[in-house]
Amino acid sequence: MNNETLIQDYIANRLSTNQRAEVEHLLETDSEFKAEFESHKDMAVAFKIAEAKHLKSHFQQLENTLPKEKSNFKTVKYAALAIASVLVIGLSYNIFNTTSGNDLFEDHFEISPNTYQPVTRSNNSDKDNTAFIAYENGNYELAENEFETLLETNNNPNIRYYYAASLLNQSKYELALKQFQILNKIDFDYNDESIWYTALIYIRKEDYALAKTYLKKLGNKKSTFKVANRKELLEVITKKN
Amino acid sequence: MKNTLSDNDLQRQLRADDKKALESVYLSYKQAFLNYAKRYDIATSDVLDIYQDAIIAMHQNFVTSQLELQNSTIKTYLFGIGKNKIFKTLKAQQRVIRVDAENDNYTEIKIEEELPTANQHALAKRLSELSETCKTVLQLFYYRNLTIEEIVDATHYKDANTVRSHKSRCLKHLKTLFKVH
Repeated sequence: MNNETLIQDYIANRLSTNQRAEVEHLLETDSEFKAEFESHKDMAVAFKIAEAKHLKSHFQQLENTLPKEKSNFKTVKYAALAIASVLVIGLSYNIFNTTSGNDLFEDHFEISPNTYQPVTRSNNSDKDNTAFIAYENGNYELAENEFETLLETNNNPNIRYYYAASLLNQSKYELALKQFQILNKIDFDYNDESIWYTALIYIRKEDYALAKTYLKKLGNKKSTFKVANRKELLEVITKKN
Repeated sequence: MKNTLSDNDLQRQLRADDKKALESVYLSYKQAFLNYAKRYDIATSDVLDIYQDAIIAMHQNFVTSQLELQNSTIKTYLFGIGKNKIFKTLKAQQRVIRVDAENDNYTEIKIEEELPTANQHALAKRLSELSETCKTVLQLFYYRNLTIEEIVDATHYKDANTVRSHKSRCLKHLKTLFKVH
């Protein structure tokens, strides 16, 4: 059996216990075999990454075509819920009906400044800097396109953050939200900002339960980012929710 | 499940990277998983995200390791992976996991998750620049782990030597693309 087949069979679990032990022994003793194994593994992992990305976007698209989740509550529970809702709405109507999610969003939204790659005289001719120049000039449409191009070759979360911000600054809320959601899963420089904008978008959508979750996330992280705004918003939406 | 396929048949289809079967598994257990995850108090959109990641991890294990579940069903296996991902999310949020929530019907299953290297990420990006035929032959070999003979059976290549030489040309091309960037 040649090395390539041996490696492939090892990964696909087609070897006996003895043969597996033989591969493991070779990995420890034969540097050439180990290098061949590593390069095979790099290919396998690269395909796994590409395929996972493809599947993820397939499922996300599938979700968009599905009807919204139906509640499992029985009729009695619906009735109870309806009565409770009427009471809650009735009690809170006078106090909270005046401010919509959009109003709250507008009150708290501020354009995220470019602190990642500030444009200076020395770097303003860099090709990679076109996106940040456009961003700083408020040309968010161009910035969006440029950041998108950069992301194709460089999956840098900070670039993705400014891509999301460019979308948000053009009121492309759903597209921005998608990007922030990707970012919220990883640890990077603008984590707190990303969570904050996610919360704001949910507030705008009047999905106060989710907005609350994200605002609380910042609290759990003991973040000091926008701490006063967060406190104020949490109070308002807790009463709304 | 509504379809008439047995769990074993479905597992066989997943091993063969059958996307229709995968979609059917996805839809069959989605609501059950969303309901199951309610005990952990995580936002529905996050649970859906976890579910999708669990489905993908499970599927890739079927495809690359040719997994055969001996004493378990797809659902139990999937929920075990999902439970592990839920716990990871809760830990990342520094939230306490309730003991009673830990003791349910599903055992946490941790799928090998070595973080990919920068090199592997870069390589993944270059794959999209390959021609469809190159991508297919390399994917069959490196991702699905089909032998050269199995690739001959699964494709239009006339014999094993043609597959070998095409695969080697594609690999060389990929390496060139990789060096250029």
